[in-house]
Amino acid sequence: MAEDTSRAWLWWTASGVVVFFAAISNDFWLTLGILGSAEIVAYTLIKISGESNASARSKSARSGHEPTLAELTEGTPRVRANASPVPIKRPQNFSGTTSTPPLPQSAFTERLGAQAAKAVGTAIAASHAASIEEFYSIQKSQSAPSSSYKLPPAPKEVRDKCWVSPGESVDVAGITLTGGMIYVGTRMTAPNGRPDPCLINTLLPVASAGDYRVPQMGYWPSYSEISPNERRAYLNWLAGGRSDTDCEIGYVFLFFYGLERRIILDSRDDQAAKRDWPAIIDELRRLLTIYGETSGSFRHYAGGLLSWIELDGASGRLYEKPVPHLPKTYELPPYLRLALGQAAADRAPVPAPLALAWVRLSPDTYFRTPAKRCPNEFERLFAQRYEETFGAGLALRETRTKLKFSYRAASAGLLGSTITLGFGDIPDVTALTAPIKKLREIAAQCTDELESYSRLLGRDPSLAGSFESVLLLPPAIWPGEAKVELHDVVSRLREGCITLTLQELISKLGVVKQPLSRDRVRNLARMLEPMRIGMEPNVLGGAKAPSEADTVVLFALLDSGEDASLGPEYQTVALTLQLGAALAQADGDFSAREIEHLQAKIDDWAQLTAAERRRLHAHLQWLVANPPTLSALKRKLEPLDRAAREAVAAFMVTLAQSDGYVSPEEVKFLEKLYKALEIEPKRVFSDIQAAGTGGSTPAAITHPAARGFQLDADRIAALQKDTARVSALLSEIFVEEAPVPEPSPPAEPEPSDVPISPLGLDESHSALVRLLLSRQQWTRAELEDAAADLGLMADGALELINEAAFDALDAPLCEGNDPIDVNTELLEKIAA
Amino acid sequence: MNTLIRQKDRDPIIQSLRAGVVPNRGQHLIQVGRAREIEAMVTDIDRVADGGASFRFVIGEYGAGKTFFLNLVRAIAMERKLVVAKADLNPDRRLHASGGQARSLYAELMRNLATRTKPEGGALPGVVEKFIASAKAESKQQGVATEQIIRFRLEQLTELVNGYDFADVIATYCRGADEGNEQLKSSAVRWLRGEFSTRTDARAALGVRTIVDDASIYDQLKLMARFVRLAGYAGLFVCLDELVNIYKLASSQARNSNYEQILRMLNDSLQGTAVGLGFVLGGTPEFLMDTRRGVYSYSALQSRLAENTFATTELADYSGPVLRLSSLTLEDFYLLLRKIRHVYAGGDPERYLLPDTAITNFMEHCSNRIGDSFFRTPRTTITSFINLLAVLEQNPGAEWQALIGGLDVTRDDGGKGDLVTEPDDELAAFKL
Repeated sequence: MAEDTSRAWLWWTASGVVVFFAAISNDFWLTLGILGSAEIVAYTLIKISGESNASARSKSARSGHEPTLAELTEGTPRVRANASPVPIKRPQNFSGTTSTPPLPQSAFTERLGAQAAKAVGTAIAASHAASIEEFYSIQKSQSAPSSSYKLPPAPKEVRDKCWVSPGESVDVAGITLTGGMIYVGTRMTAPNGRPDPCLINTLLPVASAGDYRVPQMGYWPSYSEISPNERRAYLNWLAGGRSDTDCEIGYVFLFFYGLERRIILDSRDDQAAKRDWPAIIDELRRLLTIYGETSGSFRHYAGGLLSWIELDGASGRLYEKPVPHLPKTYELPPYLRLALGQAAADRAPVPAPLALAWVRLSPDTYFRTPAKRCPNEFERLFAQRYEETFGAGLALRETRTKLKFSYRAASAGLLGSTITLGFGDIPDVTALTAPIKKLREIAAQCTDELESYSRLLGRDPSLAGSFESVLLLPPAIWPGEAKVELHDVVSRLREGCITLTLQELISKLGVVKQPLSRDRVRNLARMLEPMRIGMEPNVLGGAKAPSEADTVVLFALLDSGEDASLGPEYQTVALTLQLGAALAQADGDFSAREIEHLQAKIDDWAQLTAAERRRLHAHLQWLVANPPTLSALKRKLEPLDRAAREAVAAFMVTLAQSDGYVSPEEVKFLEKLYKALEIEPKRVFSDIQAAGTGGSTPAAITHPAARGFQLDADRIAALQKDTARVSALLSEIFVEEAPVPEPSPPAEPEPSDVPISPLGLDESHSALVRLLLSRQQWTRAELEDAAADLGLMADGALELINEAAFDALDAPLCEGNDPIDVNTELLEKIAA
Repeated sequence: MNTLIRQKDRDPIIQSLRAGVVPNRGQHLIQVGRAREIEAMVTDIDRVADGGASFRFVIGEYGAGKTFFLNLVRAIAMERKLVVAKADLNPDRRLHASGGQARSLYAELMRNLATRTKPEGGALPGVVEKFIASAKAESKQQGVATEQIIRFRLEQLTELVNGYDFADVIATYCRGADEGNEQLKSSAVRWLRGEFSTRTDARAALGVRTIVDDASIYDQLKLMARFVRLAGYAGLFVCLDELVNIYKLASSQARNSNYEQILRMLNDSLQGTAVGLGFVLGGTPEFLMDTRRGVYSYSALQSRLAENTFATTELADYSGPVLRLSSLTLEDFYLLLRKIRHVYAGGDPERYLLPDTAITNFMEHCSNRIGDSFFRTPRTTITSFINLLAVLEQNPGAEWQALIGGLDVTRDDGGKGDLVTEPDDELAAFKL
């Protein structure tokens, strides 16, 4: 088989040479002739080694059938002799199988149109193959003056021809590979002298099918050593945009080797190669995002390469520059170490982003979920706390350990090479443990602070940026205006409750308008609680959640936090308040006096705790804004027992009275309430009456038993005083006769001829008085006659006389209608 | 307090109380507390005496002492030289009606017209005659015919409704008195009392074209108020009790027209258009506050009551048109019993038949027998107490401790009748 191959190869080379000879000028032929002879020598050498390599697997291949999957996977494991210690071990499968491949139709060959060129190229590569074992160190003078690195010299020959620049496409085995950044050719040697593992050798056979999802390659795969199926798989992966997440990591590494080579080897002294760096960096980052998560190994190597790139291109003070994105690896990225080292050397404070990167990328730091789930918030918070702790930044002391960076290559082609960068006197901060410990503490603290926020987002990622999430954030990293507003709210709460609509509240939190579900309002309340802000309605206590346009009342909770549970008394009292609000609103006006009364009541309820009282005050304020209706409250009244109902009724009646006037609307409400309470509605009037007169309160009526039969001595005393006062008042009106007023009339000796009447009456009336006094009793008829005789009307005369008698003596002269009694007692007085 | 109480003052009080009714006179002797309420009423009375007007609802529960209070007010008014008219409303006596019930109320008021000299009522002829007498005296002085003087004096009344005929009737009375024509006099008094039911009769008897009818009773009262002032009295004070009867009316229209009448009174009093006329109306809380049948159902009236309310720091408001009487408390009742004992003893502490502890014992006994709120409806218990005093008085050796134990007290359920109302007649039997 090998002979067949070589014969075919010879034939192709010969014909290629012939064609080439025909096409190219004479000058060239001369040179080529020499080279050609060298090629033959090289070919013989390669052929011998190739045969010895292939002999082990030639048998199965020679059987002439396509390998089965089983065959492909059950090959004998083979550990490379020169494997250096690696951080992780992967099962290393190697199954050396080959089949008769169709000859590769590379774009390269087609482009040249001549196989001769191929042969020449290979020969050139071979001639240098022996001279690449040498290592040397160079001073990296241009970019970072203090750094130097040691590298094996890269083979200088045809690599540029193999390298497919970023963005270019190339066809290999009928597959179009877009994007470039691969080495495609027939020959390219690695520093270890073997064909570079990354080279896509167009001469090697490619199977028609291959699955890159199947793990089968060895730990250090090499394109030239993998099976045609695997080659096919690799090419497929490349063609697929190098982005299939299911891809076996070995293929990714295969590609990575190329990038590595480009960076480490090619760029060493080739400025053209450096032009590809930006594209390569992008590509590395892209790959990291795809494969970095699943493969720690890849993350490590890619991170290392990126660091190399950064370090190689680094200049100036790195700690002053923004920290580039660095993947987390098994060690602190050298870039960071350099930056930190520089800071230490300059005795400059470490800026917060750098500090964060230090913690984040420290291999022994483990960030819990919050820090990962909400990186931005974490970053802001970290910066804040960092600043609080260290002011301008952490100051690092210089260490004796100096920074040195050695690159551990992934590619087998670079194995054994020590690739290091030195940085002169820059200290290595990883030798310090105290600073990182401190930073870790800050990070842990920040993580704790973000915990609830993170959990929220974990439950529902769509809540990011909502007011709930904002509220859960530590206030230090609130969005600017929310911070100001809430600060304002908190300070205003110290003075009293705040009434505002829910919408206003939300907008204060600096959150864009979002639909408010019940749960979210509840969340809002729950989140205000740790800030010692309580909200009414008490949605956490089961109250109906308000809608956006509804009013809520914020109030300061007590610091003790004892308000978590509200006792049954609270519920009763709250219900009473609600009823009270409904009642106060019944007359269309929630008057200030009614509010005052309710407030006073809240303070009176002895069984309440201070926290409950506080909440009730807020509740009241809320009720003022949203007075409930009785029908809405009816259901709540049901569980009350008789005594509680009576108490509620009594309270309501007093409240109705509190503005000094019980309006019909209030009466109506009370009647309804009594009905709802199953108390005789007719009692409303008596109770209002009782409350209105300030006499016995309805409560006293309903619970007279509590008082027992006891006279209240104080009350009696007060009453007696009151009675004394009224007696004095009345005695002025109903003057008793005892202190005889005795106007001491001019004590005229009453000569009958003197026409002066005893009572100051006129002549005829005086005559009637005298006449009346002459008898104890008169009949009506007699009196009328007497009056008529005197030219008087009986009734009118009596009226007049008695009036006069009252005025003078405080008693009528005569009483009764028929007969008429004459008060002869007055005789003496009149006579006197 | 230490002055002795005359037998003739004492007896009516004791008798009334024993019979379970409010005494007509001497209330001040057993008044307990309520200084502010009484002060308020005295202010009212004085305002009327000064030619002003007043209007009050006295609202109290059954047993709270409305009638007692009204009687006290009435007595005070008489003492202040006002003419007082008092009547209880009942289904046949209303403020407004079309079937003669209002005129009937007026007639009752006039029959009960009382002055200080005739506190038990029936003072109308005396008032009229007093007026005529003074007119006569003037006529004698000036040498002008009495009727001319009367006409001249009453001229200011003629501007009022029925005023002209009123003057006529007074003149007729005068003529009757002069001529000794009792028939004429009594016809005149009947007219004044509103006892003529038809115009024809009045015309035949007195030659006047109008009578006091249902529609004009309030105007007639205004007329009377002016008249009594002309007769030398300070004014007219009208006490209407048992207003719950309006509340009990089945027809809402009837209720409303009655409330309208009350509204007129209230308006006139507030606006000062009535002269020397005071009203005090006694009713229960339902009457005032029931929003379907009470005063509150008549929004015009209700709003007047509200407008004149000023929120004061105290719960009870004494300046508004509604005066609320609280029900008696235990302590009120205790003092009341002591006062009764005092009155019974004729004002002499030496003659007290019971010590203070006996009063407490008696109350405890009542409490045990008829329940905790016995003191809120004191009618029957007071009767029992006086019975006890009477027994002790007649059996000087008896032990009060033993007597109290065997005393029979009954619950006073009279208040329940106040709440019984017929259902509204409107739509009561409406069916589609």
